[in-house]
Amino acid sequence: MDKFLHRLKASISLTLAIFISSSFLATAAGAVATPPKTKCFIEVQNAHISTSILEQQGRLAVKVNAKSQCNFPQSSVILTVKIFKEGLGAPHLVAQRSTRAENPKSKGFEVKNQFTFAYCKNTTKSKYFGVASARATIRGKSYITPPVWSEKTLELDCGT
Amino acid sequence: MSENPDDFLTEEDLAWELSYFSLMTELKRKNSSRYEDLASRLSVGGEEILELPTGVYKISVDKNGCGYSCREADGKNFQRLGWVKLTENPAERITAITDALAECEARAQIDA
Repeated sequence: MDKFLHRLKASISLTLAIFISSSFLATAAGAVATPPKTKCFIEVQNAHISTSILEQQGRLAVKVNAKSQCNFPQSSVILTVKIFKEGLGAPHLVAQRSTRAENPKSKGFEVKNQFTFAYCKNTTKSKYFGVASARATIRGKSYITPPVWSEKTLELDCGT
Repeated sequence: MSENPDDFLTEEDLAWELSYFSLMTELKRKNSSRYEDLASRLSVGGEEILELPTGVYKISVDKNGCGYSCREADGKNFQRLGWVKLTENPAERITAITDALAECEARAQIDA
């Protein structure tokens, strides 16, 4: 129950607004103006069986997509997605991928990570969820977005 | 929260995804012997530097998993791009490392 509440809380609070710039600009007259707030959020999909991988490689794989969206252009975005499997004991990491900071696609208002997956070894039912976090440069400052959980933990026919 | 993967990815994203996963398959077929040799060597643990046309990459294997990184523009540090869990089964380890090699080279080629 605690874990559920923790996830729910993380999803709600982090989906609304993550980055709030604390800097202020001094105007020529000496007054202090607050610049528009930098608002970013990460959206993480639930774990699913990838149709693209099945189609192109003929293999079953569990996949989680995520995107980082901001109201200002981001650059050097490292959006990391982790796939966790639930089982006996604590959930354990099965795969993680990050966008490359220097990649031309790792900038702009929206950056996606659509290549995080783990191949299934068999069709044993297993429960998975995704967690995403990001690091980016926005208006010359470095920001870190804390981890955001996928909404649901889903049981898939995929043993890893 | 998107329930349907199709709501999340645009037509362009899906097209990119298809070429990326198809390239991995093609690289695995084309380089199977080289990948398997390298995977067998790395299976017990270790690192290998891959000097690819688009950059320098590093494959690292330990008891728990296999990761790959690319050298950053400063030429000093590597950024971790991917990691997969490995089992203790030797054959499964080699297969997973082979997959990681194909994936790493696909990302280098497709600039991802």
